Amino acid sequence: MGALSARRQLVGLVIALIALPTLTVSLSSVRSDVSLASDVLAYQLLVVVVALIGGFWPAIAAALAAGTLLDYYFVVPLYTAAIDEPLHLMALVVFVIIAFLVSVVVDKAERRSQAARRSMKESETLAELSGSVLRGDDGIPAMAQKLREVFDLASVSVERGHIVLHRSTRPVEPDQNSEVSGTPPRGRTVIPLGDNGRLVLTGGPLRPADERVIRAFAAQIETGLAHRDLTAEVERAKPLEAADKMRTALLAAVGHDLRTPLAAATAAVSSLASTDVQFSAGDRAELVNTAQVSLDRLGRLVSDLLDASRLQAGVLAVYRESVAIDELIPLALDDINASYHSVEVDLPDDLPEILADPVLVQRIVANLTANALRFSPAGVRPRICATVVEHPHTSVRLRIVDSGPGVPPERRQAIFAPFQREGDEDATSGVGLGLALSRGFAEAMGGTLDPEETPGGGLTMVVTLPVAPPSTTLPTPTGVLE
Amino acid sequence: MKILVVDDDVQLRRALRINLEARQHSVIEVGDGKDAVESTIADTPDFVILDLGLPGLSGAEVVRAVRRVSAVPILVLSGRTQSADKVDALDAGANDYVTKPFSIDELLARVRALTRGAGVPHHDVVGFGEVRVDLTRHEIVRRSTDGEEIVKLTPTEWGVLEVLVRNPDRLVSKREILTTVWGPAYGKEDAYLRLFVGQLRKKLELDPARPKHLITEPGLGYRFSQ
Repeated sequence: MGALSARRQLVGLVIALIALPTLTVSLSSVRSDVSLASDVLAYQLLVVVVALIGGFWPAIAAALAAGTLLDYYFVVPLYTAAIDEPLHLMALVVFVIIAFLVSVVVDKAERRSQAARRSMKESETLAELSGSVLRGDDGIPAMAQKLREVFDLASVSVERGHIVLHRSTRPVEPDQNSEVSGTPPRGRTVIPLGDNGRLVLTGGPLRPADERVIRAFAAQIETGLAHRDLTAEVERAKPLEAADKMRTALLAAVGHDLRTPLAAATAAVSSLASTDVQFSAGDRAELVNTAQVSLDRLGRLVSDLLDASRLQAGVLAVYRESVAIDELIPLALDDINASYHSVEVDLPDDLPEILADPVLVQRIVANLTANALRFSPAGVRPRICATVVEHPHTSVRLRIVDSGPGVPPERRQAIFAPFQREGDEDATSGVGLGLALSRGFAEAMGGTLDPEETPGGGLTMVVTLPVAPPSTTLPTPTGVLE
Repeated sequence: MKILVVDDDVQLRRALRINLEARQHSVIEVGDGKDAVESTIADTPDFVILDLGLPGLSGAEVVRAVRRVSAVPILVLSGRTQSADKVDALDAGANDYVTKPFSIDELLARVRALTRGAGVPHHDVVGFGEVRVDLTRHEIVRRSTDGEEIVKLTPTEWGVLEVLVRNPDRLVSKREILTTVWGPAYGKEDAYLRLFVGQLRKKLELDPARPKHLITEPGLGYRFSQ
């Protein structure tokens, strides 16, 4: 007994306390011999009203009081508590029984409506939960918080192994600091979640009836955990996927670049071997030249690829010695069949020698100059110049300057990645190893290669290489890089 | 014959030009797909040799654009190992392909096969391996150590064999065989075709497991080679 709130019971009691004397006074003023039946009914009405409002205890109290008042004021002998008729005693008992029955009904109804309210709340909560999972987020923080609020818990945490994946705790209100912070929570409930996961609830009384909803929460949180695992898996697969894509693009590019000169050389050589037709001397020479040019290109590509893989594996042999840059530049220009006049070379007379591998420096300069020539507008010569810098080390800074279209700042590092060209649809620019190799070579010699903007537009490549120590007299192999 | 050569590699174009000119063809060279389409319209070539790995438009796109204006035979140079690109180009309307690197004789044989004209019988009696096929009398004779024997074919087997034999050295697509032999409603029944080609190989090839004359072009079709 006692489903009704204390407030309702109090209201019922107050009504009884006020209405009983009022009723007694007004009824006794019109008392007559025949009024007893209506008096009894009026009291009965009052007891029922009190039972409806205040439930069991106020009703019983009101019934006893009403019986006593009836007996005292309206039943003969008047003004005595004595009951001389068994009939009157029975009336009093009936009075109490009716009050009891009504209050039992009221109490039951209240219990039912409370249960209905609770299940409504439960279904709302469950709907909300499934909604959050359906929306795609794993919803674990939201679910933990909801669970804590619904059951008014001190904390809810989702754990796996020794790791707390998420914890929701009741916010400590400033005026509630009476609770000592070190006090262990009263109740602790642990619900297993899938493989080695668990849901830990602390504080707050949990009733057996709550279990159903808590199980549902646990199931949803478990789903959320699975969701989280799958998302993590997808995230982990992403870089692999990108690497895979890169590798495919790279293979296509290398395949195309290897096959193109091979196809031309094969076509040229196989036609020289064919017997069904007589080529003129000029045609034969051209076919031989085609084969030669294509095979040269193939050879260069193969050695570039080998160097690139050596750089990547850290096994590129670097032999550093004192090198005079002004002696290397004509060799580099010769490599790319560029005349000394197609490039403006402007080196100070007192430029110190650098400590570098002459072969690699020559290839860097050849490569950068070939690019500069390719992108320079007609009539504007690329420029090669050099300065000495003191910081951080004494170095020579060699600049290869073009006035071409330039490279936007956000692309300036990307152009150094190997195999920049996408797919295999361009035979003119090569596989895109040149810049990657040049930078790799520079770094292998303890230097750097960086792009900057040419004042007035264009791209300037800056090669920085250390100056040779004055005492260096003999070439000293520094061995293998790294 | 006026031949349009489309390739972005100058050296290969040069080799092809010298060869084709030495065989009395005139050659137009272009380096990309856009020029290829324009040249097809402006120069009306009799034959197109098209590289698949072109800058700009893809090979299949070029084929499609050319097909909109011309039925000129297109031989595709595929520089890739993936057959998907070849299939795309052939689906778009290219007639045959050669994989890079190729010998010039191989290329010229394909050019000849395509310009002979499909469906025109150039011989009524075709001999290959141990067999002699008489296309007019519908008769096949197979030589063996103990004399000659007549090989019997079902009408469907005849149909398939005839399409292939009348197009020597040319890639004949599965679809082409199916629609010619079975009729226009067929075109996807690859399994039928495999079955009948298998039967033909058993009856006509020396080693049916390693056919020399009825050759499968994976994913594309079949090619008859003498």
